[in-house]
Amino acid sequence: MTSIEIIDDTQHRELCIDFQMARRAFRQEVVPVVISEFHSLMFHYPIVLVKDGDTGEFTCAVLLGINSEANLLDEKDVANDEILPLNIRRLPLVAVAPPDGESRPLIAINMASPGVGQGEYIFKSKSHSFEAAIFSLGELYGGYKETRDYVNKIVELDLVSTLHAQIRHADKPAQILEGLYAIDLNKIAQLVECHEANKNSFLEIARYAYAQHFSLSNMARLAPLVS
Amino acid sequence: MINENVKHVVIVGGGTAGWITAGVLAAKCVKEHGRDLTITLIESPTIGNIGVGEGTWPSLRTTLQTMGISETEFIRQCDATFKQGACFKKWIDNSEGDAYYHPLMLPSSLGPLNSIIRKLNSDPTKGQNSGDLSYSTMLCSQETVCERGLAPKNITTPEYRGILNYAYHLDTNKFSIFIKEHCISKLNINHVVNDIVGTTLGADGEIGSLRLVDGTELTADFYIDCSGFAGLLIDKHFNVPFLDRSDILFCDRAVAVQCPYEHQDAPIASHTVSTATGSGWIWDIGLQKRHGIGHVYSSGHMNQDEAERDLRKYVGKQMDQLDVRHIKYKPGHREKFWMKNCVAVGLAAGFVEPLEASSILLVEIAAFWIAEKLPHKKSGFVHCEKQFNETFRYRWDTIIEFLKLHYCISQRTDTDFWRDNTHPDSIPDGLLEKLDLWRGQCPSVVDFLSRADVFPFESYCYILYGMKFKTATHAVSAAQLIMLEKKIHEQQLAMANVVNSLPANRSLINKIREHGLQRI
Repeated sequence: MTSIEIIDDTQHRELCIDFQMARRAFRQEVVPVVISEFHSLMFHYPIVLVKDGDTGEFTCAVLLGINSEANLLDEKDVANDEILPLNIRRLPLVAVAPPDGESRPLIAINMASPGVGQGEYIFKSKSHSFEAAIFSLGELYGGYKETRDYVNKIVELDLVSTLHAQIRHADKPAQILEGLYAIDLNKIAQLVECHEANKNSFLEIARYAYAQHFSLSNMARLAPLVS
Repeated sequence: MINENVKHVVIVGGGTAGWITAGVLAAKCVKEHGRDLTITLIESPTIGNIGVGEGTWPSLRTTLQTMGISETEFIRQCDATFKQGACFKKWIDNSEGDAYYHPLMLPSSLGPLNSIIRKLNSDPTKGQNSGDLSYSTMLCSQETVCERGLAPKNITTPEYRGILNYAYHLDTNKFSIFIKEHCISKLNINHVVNDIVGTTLGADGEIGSLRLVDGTELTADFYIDCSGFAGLLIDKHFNVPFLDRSDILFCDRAVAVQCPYEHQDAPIASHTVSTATGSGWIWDIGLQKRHGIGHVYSSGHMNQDEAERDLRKYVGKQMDQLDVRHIKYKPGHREKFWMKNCVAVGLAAGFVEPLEASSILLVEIAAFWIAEKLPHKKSGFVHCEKQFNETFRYRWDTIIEFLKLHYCISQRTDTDFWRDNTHPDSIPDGLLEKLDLWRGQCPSVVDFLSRADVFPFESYCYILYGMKFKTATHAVSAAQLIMLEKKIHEQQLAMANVVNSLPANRSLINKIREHGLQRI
């Protein structure tokens, strides 16, 4: 359930939010991320490419779990912004498409989110958590275009390949994780080799590709979450 | 002449057959195998394309992929939609609700066919379509998918892959232009626009060169005749006789219209609808912006006005605003397709009614055959000629048999057309023998041993049991039937999950137009 309200300092003067509760309650297994987060998230979560269910387009995401029962967030300090994806740091705020003629999105609250109605007053107490959530939302929104351009580039260069991942169980058949994709480092190496003259243009691609590749070592952390 | 290298191929004709053949040759021989081969396609500036053949087989996915074509671009530019089979209406006995499906998915192997037919026979009041399940709904989810107008895949499914097997419906004229542009820009096909006025005689009766209207000559080592019904090379140069097969397949005329949807979001059928009439049948193919509808009929049983009247009845009032196109053809094929340094592909090789969309399919098969076997030395032509003629004669014969099957096991007796179609004299001996065999026992894969069979055993079963053909079955134990019942139940549940995961055909086409499909 969602109940979106555009933030208004008069209407929401008395509103309280427990931001950490909103974060802890987060239960999605796949969280969209932007490329500017890759180098901080790569130490904590597997970063992958997945397809958007509505458009089929590739999007960058971190895997938090295999099912809704257990989640990598469960073991994290949800107060520590440095280890959380922006999409969790912004909770329970959401961006709403700007009205005609305006470019900046509106900031809104999902009133149905856990933590809303308890915790600190967001306006009366000049909440630091509230400001941090607004900042995260802005950074996330701003990062989408850069991330989309990056993904378009790697798709155009045919650098995306299927990620073959499975969780092995001692007592039952392996669980194959489908619908995951990764940036192909071998293809990047080939590109650099074939285009020696302008190899610098591929360095930016490689920078994020290596971070994504490094992050896959965190796949092993998902296995204990599966019963 | 002997042992001269084959380095230059000229394809005559710029329709679908010409460009598919050119594209497959370039992709396979030149791009994939690195062969030193120049491919030139000569197209007449004055002769238009026939522009029929909007139905295809799943093989087109491989063909397009081989040519390096993006499925997204193909769908966007050719008005293409997904096709998952054909629904035949009024073919069995012309009764209310008379309909069955020939899906593109192979039937699930739930057990021996004998047991399945036994199970279908278990309700004697419903013949071999017993209970709620027909032969195709028992063994395949695609009839349900078609009935609901669903697509065979999702937007997240990669290009050319499907959750269910699929082919396409397409706008043939747009398709020709699309692959032409691709072949010229991406596959380096030489494109010559000129009219051919004749040929010169080479050694031993082969084609020496093509004489063009501007007085020049175009010379090649090998010629592919894709010039349509005209048969500029296979007929005009080699005088290869045409085998008229209208003694088996009576339809020899068509009247066609292009019928826009009532509104732009109208559902798109994901199957061809083929509705039998008194002396033929009406095709109805849903493209993105319009239907292609046409009445194929036998001029020996119905005149043009009657055919148009039946089509008008099917289309409705909208027909008054539409351009009506009449097409004449002779059902049949050349006695030989490959002669010396020339092979005929497409309409130049032959044509039969588009009941099972065999026209483009045969072009694809021929194109891949030529790409695989085109000899490096001219001395190899003699072997190719023998092999190609043998296998393609077999293919034409079996295609004609398969099409005839749709007619000859019908219970319709309401017109001369249907009575004549079931008369044994009009049924090829091979088919008569098979039908006799299958009356006594179920068809089996061992009845279809040739690799050249175009339509497999499974397709025959869909038609036979869709048409309520009666096969004697041997007894099956109660335990086996219970086991089969259980498998059918599990199968139905699994199929329901698939069906529920698929979007509407129109919805997926719109999404592909907007976002495209990913390559992986």
